[in-house]
Amino acid sequence: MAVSITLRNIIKKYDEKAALNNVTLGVEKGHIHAIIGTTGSGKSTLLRVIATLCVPTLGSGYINGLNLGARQNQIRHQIGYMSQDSRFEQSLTLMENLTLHGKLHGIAQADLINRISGFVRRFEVADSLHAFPREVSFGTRRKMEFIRAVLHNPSILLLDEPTASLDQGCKELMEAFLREQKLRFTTVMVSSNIDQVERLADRISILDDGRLVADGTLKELKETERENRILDLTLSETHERDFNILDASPHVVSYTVQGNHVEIITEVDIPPEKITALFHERVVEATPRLPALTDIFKRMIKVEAIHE
Amino acid sequence: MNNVLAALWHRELTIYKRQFTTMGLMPVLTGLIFFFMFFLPYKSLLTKAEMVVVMPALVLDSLLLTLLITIYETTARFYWETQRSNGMASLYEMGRFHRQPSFFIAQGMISLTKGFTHLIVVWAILAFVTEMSFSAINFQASIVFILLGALQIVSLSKIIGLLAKHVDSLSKLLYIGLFPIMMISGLFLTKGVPMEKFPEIALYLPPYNWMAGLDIAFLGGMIDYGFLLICLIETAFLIWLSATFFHLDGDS
Repeated sequence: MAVSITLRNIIKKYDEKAALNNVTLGVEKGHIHAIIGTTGSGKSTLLRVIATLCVPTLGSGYINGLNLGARQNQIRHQIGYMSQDSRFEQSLTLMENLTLHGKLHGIAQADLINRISGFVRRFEVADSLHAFPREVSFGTRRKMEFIRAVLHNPSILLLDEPTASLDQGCKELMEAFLREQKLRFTTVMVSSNIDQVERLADRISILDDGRLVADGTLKELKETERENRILDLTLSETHERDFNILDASPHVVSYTVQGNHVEIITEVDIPPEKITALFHERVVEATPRLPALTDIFKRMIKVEAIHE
Repeated sequence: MNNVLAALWHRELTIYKRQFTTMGLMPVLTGLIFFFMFFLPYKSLLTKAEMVVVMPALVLDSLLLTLLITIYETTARFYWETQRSNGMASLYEMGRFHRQPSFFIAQGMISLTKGFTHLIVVWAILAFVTEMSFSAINFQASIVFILLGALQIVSLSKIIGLLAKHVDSLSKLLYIGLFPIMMISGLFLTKGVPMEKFPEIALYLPPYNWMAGLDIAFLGGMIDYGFLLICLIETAFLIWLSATFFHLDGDS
């Protein structure tokens, strides 16, 4: 499949701090590529680099075959960008904001009205079209921002936390649209919602402290954890000595403790009973499971921290 | 270019109608208030003959003040908002318009149109109030200098709008910087005062050359080609400077 976005060894420094450190990435045409990472890991900066809103300190990139450093204006024309924060002109109604965006992109009036009507019906915000941005709910504003990002029919869609703090209904509407229109756009999406990433993404990149620590399909990422199993334990009480027991056990790869809940990563062939036996009668509930994306993400971040 | 101009024009008109008091009434009132602030005391202090000399200069100053405020508010605020404010930045950033000549020219044209509309309104009111004769005014000569001066204000406003980090500094710069320079330059330009009598420092005031040229055109009815040449060079330089700022700004 053709590659829409190629980034090679991108470094972005603010003063001496590297927000992105040697990031190399490829996004295939028509794919939904999710970027996940902790706060401040460089996710939004990466999106802004692709959007040509942020000039990399070093490295190169191509968007639809156009050089990132030299053809910014042509690239921007092909991009629909939804930023993390609300960006509407407050003196104009939402309809006027959308119209202005469409007109700036050269969409003819009749076509523009048709497109806006279609989108607002689809996203169930037709009633708010003539309201000012400050008069509508956060969810409506986000939906309108999403509409604005896709209004001019871009080939690349960059979404920065598109469904953060939205209710389930809003999330489902946006996800359904992205799934349905998948082949029309190459989508790069920054999201903290791991479940959503699992549902939508064809490929996932994990960023930690500006570095790309993992990149692959969900299946490929899960493959990296195929030798591990997770055991979720709920104990009646935890003791200080539990840490020593877990540290000393040869079957435990790693663990996290939160209150009376202990999440233990073990090798896949170790029977759960061997672990539960360590806590005797204090085990209230023990659930073995295979690692999910959240676990892989947590582990990747942790492994990077250990390497440092 | 047509798309951008039409889109920005529609935006500007919508906001203008919605905020007519601040965007329409205030600049016009400022020009008029300035005029009457001087006109009323002058009328009681000066003789009729002296008033005939002072009046056209006062009218000219009021017109220029209206032009300055309208263009500055339209241009500097617009560029500040498109570059710095969250509300508009992404919209323009994400278009192909950012740092595009079409965007730069379109907003300049809108500012000039608004500025001249307000100028004509103030001029009409003052002509009615003062019963000033239009026959003495060389409109063709004046319009050249007014247009060049307006272009200089547009350019300066763009630079200020792109450089200002905070929206508050826009008003400070207007009232502490541009406003007094324009007032000082203009007030000295009364009919019949030879340029040699001007304090030397006044020669370095930025709007001086176009205002001096305008003064001669508006009040004397002739084009001084020396001032016109200097004015053209100044205007070209300022446009080039603002275009450079416009082109370079935006990368982070």
